[in-house]
Amino acid sequence: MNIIITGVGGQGTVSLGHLIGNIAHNSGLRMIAAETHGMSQRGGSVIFHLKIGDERSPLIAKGQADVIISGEPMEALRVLEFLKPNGVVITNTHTILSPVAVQLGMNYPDILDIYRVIEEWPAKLYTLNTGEIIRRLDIPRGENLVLLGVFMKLGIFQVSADTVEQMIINRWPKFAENNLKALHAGYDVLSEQITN
Amino acid sequence: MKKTNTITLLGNEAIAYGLADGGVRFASAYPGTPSTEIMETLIKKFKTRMNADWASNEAVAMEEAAAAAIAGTDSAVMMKSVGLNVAMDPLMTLALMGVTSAMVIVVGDDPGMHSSQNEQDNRNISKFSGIPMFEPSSIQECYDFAREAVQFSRKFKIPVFLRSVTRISHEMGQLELSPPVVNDIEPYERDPSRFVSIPGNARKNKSRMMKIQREIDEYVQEKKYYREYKIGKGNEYLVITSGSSSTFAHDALSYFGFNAHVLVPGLINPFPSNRFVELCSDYENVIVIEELDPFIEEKITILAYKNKLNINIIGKDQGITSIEGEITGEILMENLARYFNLEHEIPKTLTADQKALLKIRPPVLCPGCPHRSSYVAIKKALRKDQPIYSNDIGCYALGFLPPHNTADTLVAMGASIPMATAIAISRPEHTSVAMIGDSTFWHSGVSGITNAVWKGANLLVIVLDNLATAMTGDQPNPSANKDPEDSLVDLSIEETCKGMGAWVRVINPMEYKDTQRLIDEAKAIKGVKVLILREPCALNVVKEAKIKKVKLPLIAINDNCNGCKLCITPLGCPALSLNEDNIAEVDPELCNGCTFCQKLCNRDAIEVVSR
Ligand code: SF4
Ligand code: SF4
Repeated sequence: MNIIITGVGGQGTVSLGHLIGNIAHNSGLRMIAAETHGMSQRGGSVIFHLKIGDERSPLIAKGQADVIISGEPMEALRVLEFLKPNGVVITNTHTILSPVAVQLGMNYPDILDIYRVIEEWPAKLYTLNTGEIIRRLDIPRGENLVLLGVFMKLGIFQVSADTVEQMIINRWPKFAENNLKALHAGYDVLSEQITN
Repeated sequence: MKKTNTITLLGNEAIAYGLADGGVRFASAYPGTPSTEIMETLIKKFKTRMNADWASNEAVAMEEAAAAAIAGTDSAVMMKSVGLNVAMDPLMTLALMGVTSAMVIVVGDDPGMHSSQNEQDNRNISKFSGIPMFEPSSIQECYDFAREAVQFSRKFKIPVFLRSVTRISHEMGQLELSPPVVNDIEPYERDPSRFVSIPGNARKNKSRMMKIQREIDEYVQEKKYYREYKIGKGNEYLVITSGSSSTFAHDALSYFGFNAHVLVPGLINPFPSNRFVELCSDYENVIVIEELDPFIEEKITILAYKNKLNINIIGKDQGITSIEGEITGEILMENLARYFNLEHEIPKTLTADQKALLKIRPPVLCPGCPHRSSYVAIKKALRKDQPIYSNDIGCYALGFLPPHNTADTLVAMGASIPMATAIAISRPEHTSVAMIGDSTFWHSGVSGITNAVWKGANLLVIVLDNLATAMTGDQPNPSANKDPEDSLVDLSIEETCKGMGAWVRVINPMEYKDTQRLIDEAKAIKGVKVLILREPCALNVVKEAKIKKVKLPLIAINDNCNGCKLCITPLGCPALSLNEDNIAEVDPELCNGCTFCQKLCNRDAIEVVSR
């Protein structure tokens, strides 16, 4: 399985990638991953490639990703060419326009146009506002764990929920309770979107 | 199921583990993407086993590692692609004199120039210098080859290269560790006739080294520093590929079901020539898959001529790979399909209309970055002086982007000051400004100041001192030590420049008005003026606040705002924008509370509040 994780520098995209990569590793799967970002500053596009299986090259070829997980809608569109037809896109709905784009007088496109292009790819699109969910849960952070929760609940990532939860607890023991809340909120989001 | 002894590491971490487990006891490096994490890992994990510290530049790091290895301590040195240029002077002489124990030179190349100013293929330096070069293609090989490089170097008493590329260095994958080796420590033995490279000794060294190279060449032919495998029946094509390229080759050839025998040299120089020639008796068509220069291709072209091989070489001229940029899966598949007429569906692309929805998102200076404040003040103060900005390498190079546009040139580490010196001399009608960071100042800025003062040039040197080597992820430098526990000594940029006879002032660039005033003052003075704009990197301000559990301030926009954009336009802070009602708006998630924007507002519309 090939997964693209993307977002805007500062959103923790690479950490989420490492977490999912290690989940695969701890579940006994063969994995390989690569991050592509330019310089280490905030605010640029970040793409993380994660391959589970027998391929050796660290980058996913265009048209070969099963899933895109994105922290920002425009970034989901930016990597859409990596997605297989009928693949899955999970994206946070919070939009971010680069300050450089602002300087050049560009506006953020109509978000519905972005969704339409993704759906017409064709792709199955799941959208959620992770920031709002975190605020509703009244916890300080965990937006990426909400995304992870949605991804887990899709049922295409063949790893056990126990492994994932145990890893999250071991990784950040002090924040275990909040982090699990965020993960579970992700599970719920997906259930809601499927029933809708 | 998973084997219990495998772990996941980044390529650079695996290299560090391999060096340490191979017996390295002294390591030096200068940070640079994609090589930085090797030294970071050595410092974090292996300080008890070795002396491992950053050096002030790559030549210094190379010379340190060389001396350690000449004195009998197994050593390693790490740098990025272009860093090797800085270290070339000692390198070329070391290549002739060799060392007495082990010395591994790790170089991280950057095909695709993700974070470099050129795309040099340092495999050529291995050929140029005659120093053997290993090239790993997986996380496991990063570890294994680093270990092997130490032993190889010990055996022949010469430096050995380990070349990685961005894809391998920043790849994350699984590996199995082996028990560390413990090499004997030899007592120091003088050998000035070898290690004092005056011409008479150098000539002897060259003859000696030519002999060693012939021995190495024979040794590697037997030692089999290569892998081979078959795809399909393996009888139609011979494929030669190495390093990162070999992983893309594996996937693309398997995808198309080529009948190929694949030869992957792990040591790319000296090349496994005997094995190659032997294999050529069974194959007519040889495909070469390699990123950047035709290094392997030229090597086998020579071998084919010398050995009268009856083969067809299919490589760069046939468009299998390009001399430009990184190999990716889809490009390699497309090239193979085109040349071999294979059925292949070109992956679907977004239409131009769909792509128009994508707005640019380059990396930008962080919210609250002191460089942004510096640039606003500098531009304001010099707006009537026709400034020419010679910029340098660091986060501040992003001043190249709007709204700052504060870079006319950027060439190499430390180049800003010499370039600004020549501009000052040759174009006196302009104000010549050099901009350089603190780490880059120590790397190679000092020699630029020496030269500028010596020549009596009339220029303004702005040292953007954020007390960190920020671009590569916050390493220490001589005036920014991070760990009070270690034995590093603090140096002073101002005392250094004063000592050389420059006019020097230090100011916090967050003091907007005072900074402008100092620039005005500097303009009126002849000679070399060094203005040090000192304020910590915003990421460290945030980090520090977290550690000390203090809340950073936040700004709020009040009703006085009329949407004039005086705070937004010159600053370009990612946290500030105009909302739908054409009123300034702050994103509290992004704002780091530097409060600089408040200084730009002349309607008192920006208030500082607590979080
Ligand atoms: S890392 Fe530090 S120096 Fe670099 S852009 Fe961010 S705040 Fe500025
Ligand atoms: S205080 Fe103003 S300039 Fe500083 S980070 Fe916040 S919005 Fe940006």
